[in-house]
Amino acid sequence: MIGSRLVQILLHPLLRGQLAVLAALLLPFLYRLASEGTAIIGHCTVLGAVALVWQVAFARARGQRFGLEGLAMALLIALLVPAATPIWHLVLGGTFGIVIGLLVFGGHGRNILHPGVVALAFLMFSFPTEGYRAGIALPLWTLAPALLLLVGSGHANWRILPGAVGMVMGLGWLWNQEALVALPADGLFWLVLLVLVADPVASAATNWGRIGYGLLFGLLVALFLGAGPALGALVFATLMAAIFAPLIDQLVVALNAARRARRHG
Amino acid sequence: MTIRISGGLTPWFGPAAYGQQTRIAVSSCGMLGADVPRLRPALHVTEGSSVAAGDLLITDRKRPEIRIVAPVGGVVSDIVRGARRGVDRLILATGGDAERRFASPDPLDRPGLVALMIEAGIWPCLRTRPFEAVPRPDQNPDALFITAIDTRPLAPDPAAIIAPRAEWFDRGASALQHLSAGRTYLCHAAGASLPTPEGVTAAAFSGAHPAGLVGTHIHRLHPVGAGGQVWHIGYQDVIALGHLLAKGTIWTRRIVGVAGDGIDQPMLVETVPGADLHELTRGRLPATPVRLMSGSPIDGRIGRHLARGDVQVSVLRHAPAPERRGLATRAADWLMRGNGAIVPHALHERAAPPGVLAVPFLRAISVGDVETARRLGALELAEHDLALLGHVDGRGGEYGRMLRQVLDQLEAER
Repeated sequence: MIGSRLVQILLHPLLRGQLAVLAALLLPFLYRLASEGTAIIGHCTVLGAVALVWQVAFARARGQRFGLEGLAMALLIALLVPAATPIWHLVLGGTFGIVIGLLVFGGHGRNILHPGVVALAFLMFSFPTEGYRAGIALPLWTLAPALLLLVGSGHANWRILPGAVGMVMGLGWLWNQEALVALPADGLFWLVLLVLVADPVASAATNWGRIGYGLLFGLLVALFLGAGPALGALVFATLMAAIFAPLIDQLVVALNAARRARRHG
Repeated sequence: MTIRISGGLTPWFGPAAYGQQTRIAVSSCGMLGADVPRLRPALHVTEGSSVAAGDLLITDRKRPEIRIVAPVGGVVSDIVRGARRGVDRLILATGGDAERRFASPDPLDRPGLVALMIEAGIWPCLRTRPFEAVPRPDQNPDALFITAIDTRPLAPDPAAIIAPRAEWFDRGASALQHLSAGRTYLCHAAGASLPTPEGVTAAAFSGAHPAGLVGTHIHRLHPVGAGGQVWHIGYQDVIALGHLLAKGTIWTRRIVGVAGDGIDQPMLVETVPGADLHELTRGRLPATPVRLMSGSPIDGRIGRHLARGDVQVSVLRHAPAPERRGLATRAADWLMRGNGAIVPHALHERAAPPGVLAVPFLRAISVGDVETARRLGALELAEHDLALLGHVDGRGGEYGRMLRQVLDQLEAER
């Protein structure tokens, strides 16, 4: 049983929002800032401005409210693109991500994919030669606060993680692929897993579904990693897993309903 | 038999250690129209009428089994009309020891017991599952549940309240068996020793809230869905029935716990049903603003009087809106507002009623998808079962109201 005072802290509306995500991304951001220079600040500003413009436009048109999810998306994309990315790529990609990935569905909580995944997939498809699929080098320790913050606050559900890590390592061992076995030692893998895959809205929404969803993500990563660079495999695996998440949930719902129908008459 | 309910959580709202029971006399009490679901009232008294404890105040125009009687002798001081020919509240100035006497049926059988419960105004304490409605006397439940466990935040311990009144509780529980052809369950906390009459099945539950909710007990012991119906009743109403059978008069007392972060020491108070909460807490409140709620902090109702069936009063600190909001406050408000969509959280599954998939169910009721909600277990639930989920999402009783709309549609389709 969780202590009752801890529950009240976990339930605080500030922690329920995107603040935990922003805090989780802070250390990887600082690491990249220190290792690759200040380009990431410019990227982040451009993407944040693009996201804000679209969010304000949709908020005015629909009379809805919005939170920090646009900023979280901006920070995430800025983290994952190379330092030499042209600005117009970011404007296009950020626009596609926030509008098609989030706002057309009615805002955060009603989207089916993480806007960051949509934007990255867009960039990787549209500009295959620009090196978006290669990803960045991120040491494992920079993601330790993210693990604590996101799982501890209940934002990222822990049930997704063992399936994903176990599947990747298990298949790597089974197929004798060093790259797969070593993947969970890479910070990039954990960044994608914690922020994009375990996003509460885009991932499966039932406990059994979350386990299946984690396993599916692991399987897709193992399949895609053989065909291309790491970040590309991770992002497309996330995209596919998130598309299948509602189907997994529907299976769980059907099982639950069948069990109830049998038990309750 | 002890049933462990896994998961659950108990949010903090203040110290929960109750002291000695005190008795607080109040000079007014109120009968609320909202106490009985869908009441279509016909008044039998006017302002200024003198009534004895047990005298008829209000009946339902369509359902003769619903009679609201005076919980204590006094004078009707105020009748406030509500919307659509309803009664918002009927205020009684308490005073006088006049009591109406009721003849106990001898020998005790179902028609006699039903007639007595209706006559003495105890019948509306019974509720059905599915739909959480007041049952019709001609219906026969498959099982009857007596709830003598309370896991809501800051709830007083039922065993401590029942112990001094064990004789009445035993008599009431024993008599209730006549209502159901099936089993009568007495659900209590693990480790509590309660009087269990012959023929009543005791079931112990352990775990955090919602382990003490009747919906949880029904789910585990006698699941109902499209077919079947069970009835349930609270422990203080069982004491009231036992008192009625033993003494021939209605029980003019209720034991309520007054607790919350707005009060230093939680107190167990013996008072009258419908007591004026202002009088109950007078002289015990801090100088800071508080909210008085009848019921628990998660599913209570803000109001002036103790609602029927409530066994606790919540005194919660209440931060008034500041006249000038600073930049930090405004930024925090902006960040916390959300856009109304349900964002899944790890606590949803803990707070959900057992066997219910929290997020798909909440999504179904929030868009009014009646069929999916039914498949996912809406018929097992009532407003109380979703109170914890509403609290987790900071939405209060919103989910309960959504569920009620779904249940109303399902009931209409029957």
